Amino acid sequence: MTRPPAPILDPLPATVNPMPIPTSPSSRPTPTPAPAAAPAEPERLAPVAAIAAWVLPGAGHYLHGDRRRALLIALGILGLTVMGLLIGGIDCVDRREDPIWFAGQVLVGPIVLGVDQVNQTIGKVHERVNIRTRAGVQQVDKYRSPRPDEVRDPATGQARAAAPGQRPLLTKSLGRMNELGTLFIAIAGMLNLIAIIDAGMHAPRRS
Amino acid sequence: MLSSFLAWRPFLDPLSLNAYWWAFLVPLALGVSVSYRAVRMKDLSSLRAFARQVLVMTWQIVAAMVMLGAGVFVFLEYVLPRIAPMP
Repeated sequence: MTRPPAPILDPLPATVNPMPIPTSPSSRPTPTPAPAAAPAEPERLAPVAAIAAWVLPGAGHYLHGDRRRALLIALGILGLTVMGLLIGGIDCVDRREDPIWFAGQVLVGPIVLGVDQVNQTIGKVHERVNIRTRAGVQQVDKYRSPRPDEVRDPATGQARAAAPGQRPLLTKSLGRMNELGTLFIAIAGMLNLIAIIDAGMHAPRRS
Repeated sequence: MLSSFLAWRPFLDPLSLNAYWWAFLVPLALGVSVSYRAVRMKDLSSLRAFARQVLVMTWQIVAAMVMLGAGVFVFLEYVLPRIAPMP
């Protein structure tokens, strides 16, 4: 004959109420249900706006109809870019000498590509140098900034001695001013990346 | 300094304000604040509120950088020599 298993916990006596219920519920103020908030519109992907935001800072938000936001974004990002160019000169944007910084700067948009193109074409002098390789001596093109006593020959792109009182078209940016100019434009690029992502994953807001 | 300003060609020459590099923190912080707040603020209907937020964020960035600089200065000048004194 088998005995039933003993209970692990004794059941509560019938006099103990396991969950006391307030005796006078009507004496407490009953919370009124909050008014139903308008459901937020879900984010949606907008690749065209993202591309527009890269082409011109703020254009992505402009396409969404968020004009005030677009103007303020453009003011901030283009302001930083122009200020960086004023501080360090257009030599601050240089895909050959500062490729890692250039990767951040190019997020500002095609403006930076144009500035770099100007820097490479009218700012740098071109020369052919011999380098020794395993296959022998080879001639390669090299671009560098002109020295203070040199100017760029517009016909050949090569350096020639400057006439007395003549300066190179672009002055090489060095030191703190070069660092600051480069940093301003790179930060503008990083901020435009935020704007690109925000325009590409758009959630409507008040403007 | 005046002569270097007179000879300055915008966008072609860098500014010759190397001794005052630290002063550029303020316009940098201002530009960062304008861009960031323009993206992040939910309600841009009031430009006054936007300007206030931008000024607050600019102040926060500048104050944080100054405190960071002071902290690094104290560490390098006073704490580090005690930890690892130079012979």
